Amino acid sequence: MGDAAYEISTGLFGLALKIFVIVMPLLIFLEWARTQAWFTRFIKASGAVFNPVGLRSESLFPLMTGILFGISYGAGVLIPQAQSGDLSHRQVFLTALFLCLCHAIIEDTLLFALVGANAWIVVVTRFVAAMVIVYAFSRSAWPVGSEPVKTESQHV
Amino acid sequence: MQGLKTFLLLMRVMIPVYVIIAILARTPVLPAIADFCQPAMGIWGLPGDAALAMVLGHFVNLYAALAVIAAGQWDPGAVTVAAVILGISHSHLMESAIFRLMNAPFGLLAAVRVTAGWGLGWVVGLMVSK
Repeated sequence: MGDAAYEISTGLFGLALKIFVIVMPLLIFLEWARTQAWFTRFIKASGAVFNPVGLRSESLFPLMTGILFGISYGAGVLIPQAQSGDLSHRQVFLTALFLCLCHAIIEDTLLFALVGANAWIVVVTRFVAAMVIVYAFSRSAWPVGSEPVKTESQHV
Repeated sequence: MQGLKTFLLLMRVMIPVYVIIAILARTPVLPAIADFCQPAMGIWGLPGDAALAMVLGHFVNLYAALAVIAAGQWDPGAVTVAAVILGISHSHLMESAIFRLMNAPFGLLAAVRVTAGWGLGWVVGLMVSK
């Protein structure tokens, strides 16, 4: 009994320590990075990757926020943008579709890596799955209607 | 401070789950559940107690599932497969509520996640088992 209690508490302490030393500083760094000007430039530049699969420039901020910080942060940015009409219903769907497969990529991956997972396999699989599935859905109007006729270069 | 808040939330979920699983593993209860689930979990190259991690991960959250995995001391290949399945498909109750707030078809999204997660987990399982 004493042995079991010792094993359980040392196992748990080791895990908590790893999370405290590795995951928490990273989350604090991300929290800071989000307020920096270079982060906004980084988001704009990410359009080169996401525009080809059907995600438009106006979706990039909620998308990257969700990918890096988590679904609730992504939603926190996306919901007001959708309500103000900044995002079409179609773009909301494609952004949500991407994020449902691939969000909080840094925190989730690190936590699994700490208990033994191969971080690269986890990240690459999630990201590629999201890209391919969003691209596939962007080819059809299903299930939420086609893109409005207005494009980014025109204005009405 | 968000980083510290996340850490405290993690600990609040993981400590009780870890302790309960580690204790149950030393009784006949968890081994019996694991043996029962082993044939199904084996399709993905996972140990029987993965069933518990999958249920907690899908319906509660990743932290609870992680605690089961950490307490179970699996081999790295199995953890990678579980990480792919659960990374893609987790916390459906809470996250569906968020997708609903986004005005997205949350039922369809959940179906896509379950299919992609278990499908890709199986593929990764073939890759890591040699």
